[in-house]
Amino acid sequence: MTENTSTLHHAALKVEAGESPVKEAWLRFKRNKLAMLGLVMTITIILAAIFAGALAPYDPVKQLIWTEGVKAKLASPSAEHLMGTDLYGRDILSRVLFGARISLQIGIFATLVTLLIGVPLGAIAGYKGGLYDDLISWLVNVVFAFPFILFVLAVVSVFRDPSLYIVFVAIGLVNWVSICRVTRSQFISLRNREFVEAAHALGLPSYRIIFRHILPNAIAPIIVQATMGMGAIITIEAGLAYLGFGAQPPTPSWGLMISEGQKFMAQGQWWWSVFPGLAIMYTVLAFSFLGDGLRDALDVRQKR
Amino acid sequence: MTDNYDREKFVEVKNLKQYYPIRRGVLKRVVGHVKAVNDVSFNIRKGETLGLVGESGCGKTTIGRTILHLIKPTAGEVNFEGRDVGQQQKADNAWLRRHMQIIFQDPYGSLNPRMNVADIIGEAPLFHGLIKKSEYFDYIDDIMRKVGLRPEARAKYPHEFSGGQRQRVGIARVLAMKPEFVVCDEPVSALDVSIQSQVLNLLADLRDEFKLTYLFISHDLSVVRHISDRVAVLYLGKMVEVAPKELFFESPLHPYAEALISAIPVPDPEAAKNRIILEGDVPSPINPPTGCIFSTRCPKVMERCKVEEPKLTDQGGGHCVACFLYN
Repeated sequence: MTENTSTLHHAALKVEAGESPVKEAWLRFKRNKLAMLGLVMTITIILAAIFAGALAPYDPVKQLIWTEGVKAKLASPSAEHLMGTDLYGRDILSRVLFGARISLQIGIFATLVTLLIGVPLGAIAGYKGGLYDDLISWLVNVVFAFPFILFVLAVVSVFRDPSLYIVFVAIGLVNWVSICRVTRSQFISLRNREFVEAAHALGLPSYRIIFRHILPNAIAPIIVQATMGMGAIITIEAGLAYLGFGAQPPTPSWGLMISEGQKFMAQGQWWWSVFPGLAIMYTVLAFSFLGDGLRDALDVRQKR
Repeated sequence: MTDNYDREKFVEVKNLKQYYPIRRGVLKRVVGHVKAVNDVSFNIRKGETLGLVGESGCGKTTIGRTILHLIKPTAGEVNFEGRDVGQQQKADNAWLRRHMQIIFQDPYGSLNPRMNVADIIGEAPLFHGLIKKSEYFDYIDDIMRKVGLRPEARAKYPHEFSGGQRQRVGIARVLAMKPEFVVCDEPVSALDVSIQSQVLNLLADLRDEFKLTYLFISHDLSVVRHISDRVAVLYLGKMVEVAPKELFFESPLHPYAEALISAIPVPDPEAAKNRIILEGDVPSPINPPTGCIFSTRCPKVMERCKVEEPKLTDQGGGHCVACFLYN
C-alpha cells in the first residue's frame, strides 16, 4: 500500500451523497399536508412580525380621533380600516400586525430560556443518573406541582415595571420542566445503547459522547416539545396581558387588546376583541400543526 | 514491543467477578446478587483466538465488557500486556482504548444513526491523534477497502446499509484504532447465515493481516470451531473447560461440554445420533448450586460434586477441566 495509489484513488473517487436523517425527515415533512400548512402559517406570522412596519396601514399607537374626529372612534370594519378601530381610534389591523412582534418575541425568547435551563439539566439527570437524577427530578416535580400562573404572577409582580424581559424569563423559569423531562428520558434510553457504549470503548470523553453521540439522537423530541411549547407560551403571554401583567398599554399586545375590548363585545363592537383573538388562535394552531408535523417527520420509529 | 510481559499472558484475567445487586422495597435494600461472572480466570496468548462459548445468560458478554472496563468488575483484575487495565483506565484511557477494542453483536444498535460512515470510522482516530486532518479521508478510504466496503459510500448513513455491511462498518471503526486485541461479542449471530461466513472470513483475514488477538464470544459452536485456536466453555458464570480447539472438539472432558458438542447438527442423515439430552433448566445465577455448578443437571453426578467445588486443572496438552471425574 503506497501513498501514491491511495491518492490516485482519492482523486478518482466519486463520493455518493448520503441521505442524512435530516434530509429524510424533510422529505417526510413535505408529504404531510397539515405540517406544510403549519409551516406556511408560521412563516406568514414571522413575515407579519418582521414587516409589520411596512404592512400596517397606520401607526399602531396613533389615536386617530385627534385627526379624523369621532368617525374614527370604534369604527366598524370597512375598506379604510379592515378590522375597524378601537375606542381611541387606533387601527386594529395595524395593532394586530404589530402584536405578532410581541407574541413571537415572547415565544422565541421564553422558549430559548426553557431550552437553556431544561436541556442541560435533563441531560445531566439522564446521563449521570444517581444523585444528580434524584435532585433534578425532585426540582422538576416541585416546579411542576406549583400553580403555574401564580408563579409567573409572583415573579412578574416583584418588579414594579413589568417589562417583556421579565415576562419571558418568568415563563421560561416555569416551562423548562417539560423540556427537562423529555431530555432526561431521551438520555436515559440512549445512554445504554450500543453505539454509546462503542463511543466509550473508543475512548471518547463524556462531553463528546453527550454532544456528538447522544444529543443529536435526542434532539427530535426536544424540538417537537419546544415547538408545541411556543403555542402554549403565546397563550400564557396573552393571558398575562389580559390580567394586566405583562405588556402594558399602549403596547399592541393581543391579550391586552382582548381585555380592553371585552366591555364592548356586548354592545356589538366585537371587532376590538375578536380580531386579536383570531390572531392568537391562528398562531397557536400554526405551532401545533408544525409541532405535529415535526413529530411525524422526525420520529425514527415510524419509518418504514 | 519492548515491554517484558509473558507472551502467554497477553491478556490475563484473574478471579474476575461481576455481581449485580438486586434491590427491593422502598429503601432499596440489597436482597441478593446476580452472579453474572463468578470467579473466572484465563489467559490469552498473543496472536491467538480464544473462543468463549456458553448459552445465553451465562456471562459471556459481561466478561467481554468487563475486560475492556466498560463495566467495572466487582472483583478481580484484568492485565493487558502486563498492565492492570483498571489502573490504566484512570491514568491513560487513550492508550487502553487504542489497544483493546470491541465489535458488537447488533449491527443496528452499534452505529450512531446521525453520523455518516466516514465520521463513524474516523472520529476516534482523529480525536486520539492517530491521523492528521489532511489524511482523514485517505485513511478512511483505506480502511473501508480493507473491510470490503466501497469508499464511495463513505458519506452514507448507517440506515442505508444492509446488516452485513453495517457489521463491516463496525469492524472498520475498530480497525481504524489499530488495536492489538479485539473482543468480538457475537459478531455474526445477528446476521443472515449467508452473510455470517463472509464476515467470519473477513475477521480471520484481518487477524492474519494485522496480527490481531481475538476473544471470540459466541453461542454457536460451529462458528467457534471455524475461527478459534482455543475454546473456553462458560456455564453459569464459571469456566468449566478450556482446551485447544482440536482436543476440545474431538474429546471434550466436561459432561456439559460433551452435551454441547453432541448437539452440533451433523449434515448427514445416516450419521448415528447419540445426543446427550440435558435434564432441567439452567439454575438461577442468583442462587447457584453449591459444589459443582453443573451438579444439578449432570448425567454423571457424584456425591462429592454436591458439596465440593472442582477446580480447573490441566489434564495435559493445555486441556483444562473443572470436574471431579478427572481428579
